Amino acid sequence: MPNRATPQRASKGARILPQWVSTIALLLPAYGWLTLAVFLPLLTMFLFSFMNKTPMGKAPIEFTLRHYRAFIDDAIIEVAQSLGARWWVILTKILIPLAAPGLISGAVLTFVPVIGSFMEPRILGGKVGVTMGTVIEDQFTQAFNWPLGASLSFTILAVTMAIFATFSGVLRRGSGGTA
Amino acid sequence: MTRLGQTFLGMILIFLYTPILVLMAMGFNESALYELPFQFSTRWYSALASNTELLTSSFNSIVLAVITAVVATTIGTLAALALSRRTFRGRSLLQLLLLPPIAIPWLITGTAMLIFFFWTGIGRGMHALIIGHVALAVPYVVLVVGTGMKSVRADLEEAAMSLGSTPIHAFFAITLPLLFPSILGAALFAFAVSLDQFVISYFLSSPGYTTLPVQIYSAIRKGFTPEINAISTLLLLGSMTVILIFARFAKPGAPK
Repeated sequence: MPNRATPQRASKGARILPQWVSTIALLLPAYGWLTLAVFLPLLTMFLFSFMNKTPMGKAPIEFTLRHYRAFIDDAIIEVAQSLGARWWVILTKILIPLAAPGLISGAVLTFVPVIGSFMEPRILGGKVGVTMGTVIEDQFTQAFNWPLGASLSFTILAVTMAIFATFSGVLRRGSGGTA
Repeated sequence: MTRLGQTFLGMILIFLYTPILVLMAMGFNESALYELPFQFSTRWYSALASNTELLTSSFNSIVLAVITAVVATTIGTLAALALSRRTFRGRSLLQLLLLPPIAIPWLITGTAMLIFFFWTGIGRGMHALIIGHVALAVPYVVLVVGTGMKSVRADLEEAAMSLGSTPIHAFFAITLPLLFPSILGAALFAFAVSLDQFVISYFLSSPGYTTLPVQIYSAIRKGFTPEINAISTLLLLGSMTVILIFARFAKPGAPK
């Protein structure tokens, strides 16, 4: 809403930094954590899949990783090693390409809930925590402009559907048709 | 590489669990403003005992989750049975249509339900919440039970029926016991989905009937005391216990 979207209008006299700097500075603490919270689990799962000697090897997360392990045969890695490949070559030439479907589907499946979130920006975002989600929530709970809210919702839905259509092939391959 | 991985893993776990531990610890802190010289006290737990708003909404949440689990598991199991054992027109289309509800942002589902319920006169309140949560949980149940169905051989049922058992008897005597771990897992999943659900509850709850997440959210916007930490800790311990019991008796996801 407009009243939330215009912060720092009051400090007109002492304008040293451009608006976007302060916006980013305010957003970073909140959204930095949010982004980390989204992408760290992803990275973790990725890393998990290549550590079979850890004591956590039988953690529940392994369930989600069965796809990876099915795709990536340890023998391939051993062959690469015996042929003299360094670890970064193995990582970039073998592991990442083979895990790509899983990575992409993970990224899509984390992106979609976040694009519609309104509670997290409200609580963590402070004055600049304005997202599509919070605007839509305002339309339904404060402004009572339901048609506008509905059309904004539909916009997000269209974006989501476009993303799914783009990655549908990868998603089907990456998660065995279950997601 | 392994050393690096373990360090990274440790950092992830710290990142994931520190907020929860801080939340639990602050529930035992004397200060109402979360001020830091930590002084142990249980005053927020005793204050919670007389906070009817929080207690009622927690009770509502749990009742709603139980109802959702029962209804969604029943409907979902029947759907999974039909999808995996019968062939009919539009089966693959129906199977495909199960996935979007999981993938669409909850905000959209929530606003769509609000508009629809308002337009059809269903309104808001407990009945609307039950419908919404069940609709949300059914796809998960179908997926979980459907995965379990793959491991139950159809020829066992057929053998029973060729030996004179009725289809219904064959289902209850053979398929259901074999399927039971998956059904239990699905029910737990539905329970968790409902208990954790904020967005749809937020749009569908009426002033007289709220769930705990909605209550906490409105408290956070208005100003709150560590009583919220107290109730969160209690619920967290409760759900942890359920998960531990479940993990002890059934192994979710393991091929049977």
